[in-house]
Parts: sequence; C-alpha cells; structure tokens
Amino acid sequence: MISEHLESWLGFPVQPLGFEELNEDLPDLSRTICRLYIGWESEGPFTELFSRFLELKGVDSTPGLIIGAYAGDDSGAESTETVELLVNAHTRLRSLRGIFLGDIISEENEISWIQQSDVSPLFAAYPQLENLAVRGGNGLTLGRVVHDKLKSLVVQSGGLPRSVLADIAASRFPNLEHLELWLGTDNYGWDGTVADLQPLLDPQQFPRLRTLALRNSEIQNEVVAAVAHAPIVTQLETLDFSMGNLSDVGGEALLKSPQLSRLKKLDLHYHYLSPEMEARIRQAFPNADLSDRQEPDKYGDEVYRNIAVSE
Amino acid sequence: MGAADAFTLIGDPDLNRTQGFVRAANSAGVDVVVWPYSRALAGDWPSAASGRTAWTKIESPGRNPATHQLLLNRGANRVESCFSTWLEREPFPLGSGLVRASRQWFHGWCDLLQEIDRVGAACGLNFVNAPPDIVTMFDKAACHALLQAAGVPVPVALAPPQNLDELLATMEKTSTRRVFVKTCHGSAANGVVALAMHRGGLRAHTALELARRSEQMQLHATRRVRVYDTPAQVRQLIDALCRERVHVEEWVPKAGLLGRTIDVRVVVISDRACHVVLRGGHGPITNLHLGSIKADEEILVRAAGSAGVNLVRTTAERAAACFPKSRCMGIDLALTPGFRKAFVLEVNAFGDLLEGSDWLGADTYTWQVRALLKQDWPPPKSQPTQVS
Repeated sequence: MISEHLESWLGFPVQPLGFEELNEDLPDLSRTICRLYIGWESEGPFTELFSRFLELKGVDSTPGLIIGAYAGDDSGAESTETVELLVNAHTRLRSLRGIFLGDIISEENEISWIQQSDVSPLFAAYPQLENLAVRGGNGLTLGRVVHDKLKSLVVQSGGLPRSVLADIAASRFPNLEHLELWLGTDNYGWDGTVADLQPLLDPQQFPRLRTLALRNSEIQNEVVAAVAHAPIVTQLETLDFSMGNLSDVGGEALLKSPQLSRLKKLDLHYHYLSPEMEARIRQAFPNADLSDRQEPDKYGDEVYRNIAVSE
Repeated sequence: MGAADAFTLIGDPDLNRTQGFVRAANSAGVDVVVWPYSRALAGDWPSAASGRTAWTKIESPGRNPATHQLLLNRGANRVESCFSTWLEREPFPLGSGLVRASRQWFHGWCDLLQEIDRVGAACGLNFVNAPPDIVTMFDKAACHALLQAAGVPVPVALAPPQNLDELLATMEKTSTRRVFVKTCHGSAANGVVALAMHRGGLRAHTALELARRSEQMQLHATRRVRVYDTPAQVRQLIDALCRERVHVEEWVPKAGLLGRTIDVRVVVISDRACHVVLRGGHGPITNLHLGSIKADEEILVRAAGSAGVNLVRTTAERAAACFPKSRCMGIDLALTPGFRKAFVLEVNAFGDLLEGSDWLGADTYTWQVRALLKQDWPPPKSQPTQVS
C-alpha cells in the first residue's frame, strides 16, 4: 500500500497543485516540481488544471512534472488524455527532465485500479527526458522505442503485464542507469514468468545500468535465482529484490552467488527470511539491507506471504 | 477533603477505564463511588447520589455479556421492523463478535440513559457528559447532522439506505464513487465498510466477516481487515449491515504517515483539546484495535507543522462545542493528504481511554479530574510543542 505522496523528486521539493493551490502563492517553478491533482471533490476537469498550470510563470524552466490523481475519485479513468496533454505541451515544458505519471496514493485510488495507457508518445515528445516513472500496470504500453537520454525507468504496479517487459526488451535505452520494475501478483495483472525477465539481464541491452530493481514480486525467490548469477550483475552497484515474498529458498540462491558481495547495496527490505537465514546473509553480504522483516499470515492451514503493494 | 467533593462513576469496577478515572481522582484526594451497570439496570441507584456527589461520570457499559443482554431486553419492544433483532432465548453471544441487533441495543441504552438523566435531575447531579448528549454521540447520523448544522467540517452524508441497491442509486445520483458505510450505533471498527465503485464493480474493505448461518448471512467483527469484491459478497455484506441501521458518508482521502494511512483522535476536556493520538493502518480502516499504530503528536508536528496540528485541535474543539453539557469527548478526525483540511469523523462519548498516552505529563483521566476540580486548570495555551 502506498500511503504518502512524494515530497521531493529528482532532488527538488514537490508542490501539490490542485485548483485550490492555483490561487495561492507558489514557489519558484524552476526549482520545484509540481504534482498536478484533482481532489476527491472533483473540483474541475484535469484539462483545465493542466492548461492553467501551463500559464504559470516559470513553467518553461520547471525540471519535472508529477501527474497525481488526474481524474479525482473516478478510479477507472484512463490516462490517455493526460498523456496527450503532456505530449501537446512539450514546447512549453521544454526543460522537463522527469515525468512521473501517477503519484496516486491508495486513499485516492488503488494501484491495481489505476488505468494507464500507451505512454510511448512521451518518448518522442520529450527527447531530453531522463526520468520516467509510471504507477499502475493496467493498460500500460511503453511501446518499442529508442531513447538516448533516458537514465531512469520505473514502473510501479501491483501486477505488471508481461507485455511491458517485452516492450522494454524490444526498446533501446543505451544510457539507462536505473531500471525498477514492481512485478506484483497474478491477482492484479502479473502474467509473466522469470523467462520474461531474461532479455533484461543481458549487459548489451543496458550497457550503463547501475541499479536493477525487480521488486514487489510474488515469485521473488525465482526472480532472485534467475538474476543472482546473470552476467549483468557484474556491472551493477545496486540490486534490489525488496518488497516481495522473498523467503529462505531465495536466501539460499543469494548465498550461492558470492559476486553479490561486490555490490554497493543489496536491497532485501520487506522480506520473509528466517532469523537464521538473515544472519547468514548478513555475514555473507554486509551490503544487504535486511530491514522490515515480515511474518507470514496464517489462516487455518494456509500460509500467506503477501507482497508489499498489491491491491 | 469534604464529603461533598466525592465523585460517582457509573461503570464496571474491573474495567481499565473505570480504574483509570478512580486512580486519577484518588490521587487528587477525591473518593469515587463506583456504581456497576448491573445495579443501575436494576433501578438501584446509590444513596450517595442524593447530595454528596460533585460530579457523576457515566462510563462505557463495556463488553459485559450480562449488561449487553439486559440492554437488548430493554430495547426489545422499541426496535423498528426493518432492523435486526435479538429475541432469542439464549443470551447474546457477545464474545463471538456477532454484529446484530445494534439498533435494539441502542434503544435499550437510550432508555437507560434517560432513566439516569431523570434520577440525576431528581438528585441534582452534575454529569461529566450529559445523558442526552451521549445518546446523540451514539447515533452517528444524529451526531453528523448536529455537527453539520453547526458548521463543523464533516464529510458529506448520503441518505441512509435500506440495502445495497438503494445505496448504489444514491451514489449514482450524487456522483459519489467512494463511501464509508458505518453502523449508526456501532463502536470502533465494529461495523465499518469502506466501499469503492470501480468500472461498474465494487470493492469493500472491512474487518467484518460474512458467515452463512442457515438461511441468513451473519456479520462478525474481527481484527483483520479483508477485501470483498465479488458482487454477491458485497451485496450480502451491505444488505446485512443495513439491517443494523447505517450512516453513509463520502470517503474523504486520508493523509499518510510512516507508511500508513492515518486518522487522529483528539481528547477534548472542558472545551480544550488535550491529547492528540495518531492511528494508522494498512488500508482505509484505521481504528486502533485492528493492529494499528499509536504515534506521538510530535510525529504529526514534524509532518504537518504547527499549523496542521492547530487545525486538528481547533476543529476538534469546535466539534466538542456542539455538546456544551459534556466535558470529555474523543473526537476522531481525518486529515486530507498534505494535511490541508480536517474533517470530523466521529464524536466518542467514551473516547478517553488512551493507554500510555500522556499530554503535558498526565493522562486523560488526570486532566479530566483537574478540569472538574478546576485545579491546575486550564492547561497552558502554548501547545502544541515545537519540534526542532
């Protein structure tokens, strides 16, 4: 569950910007990133908010833009129109280095209900874009694109369609440094297997990759086993298997890959490792973040290891 | 200490809340006559009530099965036909968490409170919380209407439905896609459903469990929040809940803190907001006993600033001011994301049990006793504490 909005992004403070804030004093937009949102009272259409945002002083020098709850309390609204607005505004938003599409907390709309769309036009409209983050996997298409400047690609979901993995594998992001995918659960749209991840583990695919995060997965043990020995690991500084249902099976797989000790960080926070396994991993990998250990839920004979963010 | 300064407490002696108040009063040198509900329900009133008592505090009837059954019996002939009843021979299975006959219970409770009020008037008692106020606080629809009429910010209420179809029609008509459905007379999370409409489907978060018993669906309060999202289950859930009489409000999105969704309990004593406690949960249901956290007010100051905390405190005081004859209430509020707005969700007549929660070095009972005795009262105005 995501309960809080970003307060800063890309090193800049975030200013929430709904219809109400439009009438208030706003900070210098060249050093602030706005989160555009429509409140639950649906104060007006997003298109109007967006066009009034574009009229603000300094918007042409604003470094990034976060799209929040773009449809108020209408949980089923697709992001298609929002993507169009962004694309059409590219000349006005000429300093944009980052776009976060969907900083929407669970109290506004559940991550599994956010209805994304084809966001590939953003790549063509913003050739200087360095950071793209998307929350919500439903309906999401990244397209098969070539983008030379993109450094960070994040897709947060409660269940990622394998077609998104195929899109990434078929695209070219030669300067990508940070790839973060929340794989999720098949209850909410995950329909892949570790085989779908294999193309992403090829060093030639991402020659400059430094952070690989394959997290929030209900097959976290298999993901770990597939990645721990992959050749791409040698070029990484951070490997992130957090927020999933990692248990001792995955722990054993980690221990068989001594090269992981060379990482700057091995992020395993939110995990289901036993205290014994935790101790062995801490011994082998002093770089490991083992915080936020979870206890499985037991109902009758059933044991549940829930991932951090699903519904 | 003169005899005239003794207090009377109507409540069961073995409850934490009773003991907390007695301890605080005793520390101030005041005796407390504790009068259990079993005697009150039998029409047996303390002779001390005639003149010796400075203040009378009505405590929660608690979860005593015998008390619960006696209140049900008292309300048996008053409950409207559209609401569920408990007229069986065997005692109500309180320990099972069964949610049923809450309207009947409310009628019994009102009747007892009216009797307490009559006895009080005859003996000249001063109540900490006036019985008619407690009646209103135990009726979420009436309480909401009172607050709204006074201009206190509350979520928009929807017309009370008899079943899911009526609820959906009202949601459609008012373009409301997300609501809280609460039993009018329930306490805590016993009978709260967070219901959201999505592309023609519905999803319900609740700590209630649906169980089939012969022909009827039963609701049980549990400590685990679950999700119902099949049409049949949501229908059974809401239809069964409506038989308890429900109050429906729009779902105001709540702020998050420490990775949780939070709401705020403020204890207002003699018009002053005192203790502020954060409650947080993984999901829309944030009540304390469902494994939520309690966090210090300082955390809120850090996140929302003094302005945010002052907003919470003043809004709580405005809600409490709607009950001028009551001196101790627990006000539950929602803060919207960014801590921009505060809405009053509930007013609890017995909202002062906050174990381990001190404000300016003292618990809720100690501050209450100070306010009643007008000793070390009022507290200094320089709250909340600044956090560096």
